[in-house]
Amino acid sequence: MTISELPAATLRQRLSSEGIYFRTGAFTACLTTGLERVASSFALLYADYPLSEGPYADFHVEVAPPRTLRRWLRPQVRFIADGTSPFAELPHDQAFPVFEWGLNWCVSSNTNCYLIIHAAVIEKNGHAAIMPAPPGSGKSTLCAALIHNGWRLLSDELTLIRRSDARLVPLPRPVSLKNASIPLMKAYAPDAIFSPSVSDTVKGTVAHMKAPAASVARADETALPGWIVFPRYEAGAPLTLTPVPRTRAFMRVADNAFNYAQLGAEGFNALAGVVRQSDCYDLHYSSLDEAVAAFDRLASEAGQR
Amino acid sequence: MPGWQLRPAQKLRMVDGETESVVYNDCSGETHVLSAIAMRLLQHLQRGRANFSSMSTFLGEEWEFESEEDLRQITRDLLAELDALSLIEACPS
Repeated sequence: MTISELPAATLRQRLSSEGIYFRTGAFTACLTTGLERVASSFALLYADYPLSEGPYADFHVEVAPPRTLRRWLRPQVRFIADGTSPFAELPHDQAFPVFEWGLNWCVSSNTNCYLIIHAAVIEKNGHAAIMPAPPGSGKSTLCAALIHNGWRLLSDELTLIRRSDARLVPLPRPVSLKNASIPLMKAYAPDAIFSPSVSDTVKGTVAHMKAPAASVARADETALPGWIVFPRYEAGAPLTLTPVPRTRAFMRVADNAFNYAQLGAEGFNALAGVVRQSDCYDLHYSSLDEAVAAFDRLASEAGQR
Repeated sequence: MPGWQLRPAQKLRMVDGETESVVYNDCSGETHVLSAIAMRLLQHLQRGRANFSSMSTFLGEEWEFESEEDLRQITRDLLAELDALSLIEACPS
């Protein structure tokens, strides 16, 4: 049973009482909230996610108003994970982004059975492309364009590398878009579903794009690494795809890992397993269509490996 | 004359490239990028402890150097670099 099969009133009643248990890739989360702006965006973007039975969950999270007078003077929200509040309170209109950021924090801070890279990861023809990149590089925009063009979303933010065999484990969640990429992607993918835009966050204006239902349905299918691509958007730049030596790619990916140092030799082995199976490139682009075509060429060659 | 050996815990996990390698340091937990010649020296020591002369001879057989003095200087520099990274240690020969 998926979240969309719950009547709206039942969803809200459960969100505000025992919580909604749902599967997101390898994890079970339980969300509790009485805030309508969280409930409505959750219903919109998580419609395809399978419900799970409680009371077990990897993460019990809550988005709620603070218990102080500030809730009346200047409405705020706080994120609570397993009883603790890891972040400062934020303005109440940021409640849904707070949930998304908080769930990412739960995975990246509490999960050491995977090597976790701050990178998008998408798959086609059985091979996955990992895209580590700093904010502003156009990673999420490119990821959104690729999943709109037939690539499977494994994750927009967190690449999970299984330590035992270096396979990539899906964590398909809504794609986080910022600022100019929001209207750009709404025009590029007019059929896609977006949460309401929220302005004046620490990241500027943010909105989330719904993960494709097919990606959510295949959340249990791991993928083989195929490529590591470091994207960089440059207005007006011609598309270039430049090979990167595996050794340099290794160090750049390690720099984007959340827990590489903590995992020690196991982290090295996991990343080495991915890098050895991957062709590595720097991608500079200005046109989404050209960038998608470049990825499609890589995917079409995957069968020849 | 003292010799050199890998630090006992080193397993030399590595990813090889064309001109350099990435190696994991089991003693420090750090990851290093090493030149191909430094990596070959490490792999030579993986077979067992060796003295300066044998390592210099080994490198001289695999790489071309301007002079004997260059070869000795580069061998000294490489050993100092690998020692500073705690990948190798001096030992009685």
